[in-house]
Amino acid sequence: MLGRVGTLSVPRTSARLGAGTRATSAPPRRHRLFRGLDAGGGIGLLLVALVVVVAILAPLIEPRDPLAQDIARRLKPPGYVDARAGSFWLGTDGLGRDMLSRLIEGARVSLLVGASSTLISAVLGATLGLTAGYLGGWWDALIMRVVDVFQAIPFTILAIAVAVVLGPSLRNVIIVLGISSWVNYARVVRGETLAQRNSEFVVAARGLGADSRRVLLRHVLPQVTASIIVLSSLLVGSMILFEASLSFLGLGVQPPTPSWGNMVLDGVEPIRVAWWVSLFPGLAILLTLMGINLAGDWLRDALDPRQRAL
Amino acid sequence: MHGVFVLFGISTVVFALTWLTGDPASVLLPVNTPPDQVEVFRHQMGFDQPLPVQYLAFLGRAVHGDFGVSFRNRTAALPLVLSRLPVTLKLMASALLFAVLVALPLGMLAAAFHDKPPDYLARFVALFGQSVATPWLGIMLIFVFAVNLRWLPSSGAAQPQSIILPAIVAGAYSAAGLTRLLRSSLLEVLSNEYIRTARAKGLTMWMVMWRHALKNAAIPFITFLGIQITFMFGNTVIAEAMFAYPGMSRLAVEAITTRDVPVIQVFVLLAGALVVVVNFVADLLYAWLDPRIQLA
Repeated sequence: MLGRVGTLSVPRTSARLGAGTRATSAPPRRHRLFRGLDAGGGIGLLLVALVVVVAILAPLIEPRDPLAQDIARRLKPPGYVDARAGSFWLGTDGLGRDMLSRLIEGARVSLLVGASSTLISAVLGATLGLTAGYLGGWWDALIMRVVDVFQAIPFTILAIAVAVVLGPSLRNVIIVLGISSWVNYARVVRGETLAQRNSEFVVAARGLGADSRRVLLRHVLPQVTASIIVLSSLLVGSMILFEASLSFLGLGVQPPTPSWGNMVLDGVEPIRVAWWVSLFPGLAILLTLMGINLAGDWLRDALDPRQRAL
Repeated sequence: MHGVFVLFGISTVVFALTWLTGDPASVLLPVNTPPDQVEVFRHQMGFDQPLPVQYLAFLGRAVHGDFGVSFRNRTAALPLVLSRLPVTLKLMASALLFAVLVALPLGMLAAAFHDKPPDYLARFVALFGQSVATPWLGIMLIFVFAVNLRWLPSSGAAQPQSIILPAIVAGAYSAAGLTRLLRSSLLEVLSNEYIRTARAKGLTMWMVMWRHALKNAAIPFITFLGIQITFMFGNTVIAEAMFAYPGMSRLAVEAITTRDVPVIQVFVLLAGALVVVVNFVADLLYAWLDPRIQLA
């Protein structure tokens, strides 16, 4: 948005010209985003991309059915080779299911939970934050009090309470995580909306007769998208962690559907004899989260230099 | 005043939990109770009243500390949960201690050797702590230290060293955040003029850090604690459940399976109250640490 205004109104100032010539010698402007990409950010993006590709291709690359049980080959160690069924690279779990296939299927489930619950919180929090910041008055006061209350209840505990009430299922896990973590969005978006509310382009849009809805969606929302993207990139990771915590308490994604969280739980009981059942899903979470955190940090620095890393 | 309001809000959420569970009578009474007895019971308990009336009655009882009776233990819910509070507080304090013990040396090393191997180490530890799934960390610690090395007990609170593993599990995430925070705030402070003066006076890097830089990192540290207490609480729940540590979170986790709503209500309320208290203390500490900040 800023870029377009810049090229229209001040096309020949020296600063713009400098940026422009560089942009023509190198491929298009968008690459500006990647100029600050350091090793950490690069590794992070690679890890995230890998997990996403695995999740998308899951049915094609799973060596066998992730739900197929066979008690005869339960708790086989990694590298186990069955005369008829072939090799099990990561071993089998307590029900004789192939760990590798479940890990791949689990990527799908965990990413689905992470992404959709983040989407719910983003939409909920951004809507409340935008309206609170723009409309002000009693609505703003009410929303901010609700934010205070939600901030005081530890996330996991709120999620437990809601999960107990709703009962555990894949859909409910997504809902629980979604409604437990919109608070950050509401606070950040409200703050930025307040800053934009009386800026010239908003006043101009209002002067031209745009109603609140149009002003918020067409003029204010684009200004706060960067923050929303930054918050979301890191929240997806937190959601995967929280799903693991809920799963551990029996309130997460329910078996037989494999999520990395409930796979870790599957390994608790046989930990003395079969370390691999919980090791691999936990490692998958660790690597994915490292990827998300590295990529998220880079994204924040690239998009929003104001809120740098703590 | 603000805290009182927040507590009021939490109690509203807690009340909402009751009627979201559906008909409380169906949870409280045995399955085969005759319908007419169910009606009598509903009338006795006030479940047939309109919601706002029930809500006011709930608030009235809550002010007197009456949250009903635990379905499972048949004792009043509030004293039951309160009796387990000290154990949880002790665990949280230990978790915080662990976080500080990790973060302080790592943060100082990272700041002193900015962009050198110690800094990389600190950044990696921080990244690891923020990326690891709490239950998994616990299981791996049990596997290594309880099953294989047999150094530490894997459950209970019978021995003094029983608290070590739960404290690590509960504090790992905060240790990572704290390391990041100390590193960046120390780096920021170290770039100041008066630090150069102190260095020019001949003080060593470590003296400067200890005497000047850490003091300035105290304010963000306290802010961080206010935010972190909620995460630490969540991880305490996992730690208590995993290591059978007899705190109030474990009580609440047991209440999950029996759907013992009064216990969960009290637990949520107490957790919220604790967060409010911690943030209130943090506000007081601000004013004490930095005379420029005035209490509103």
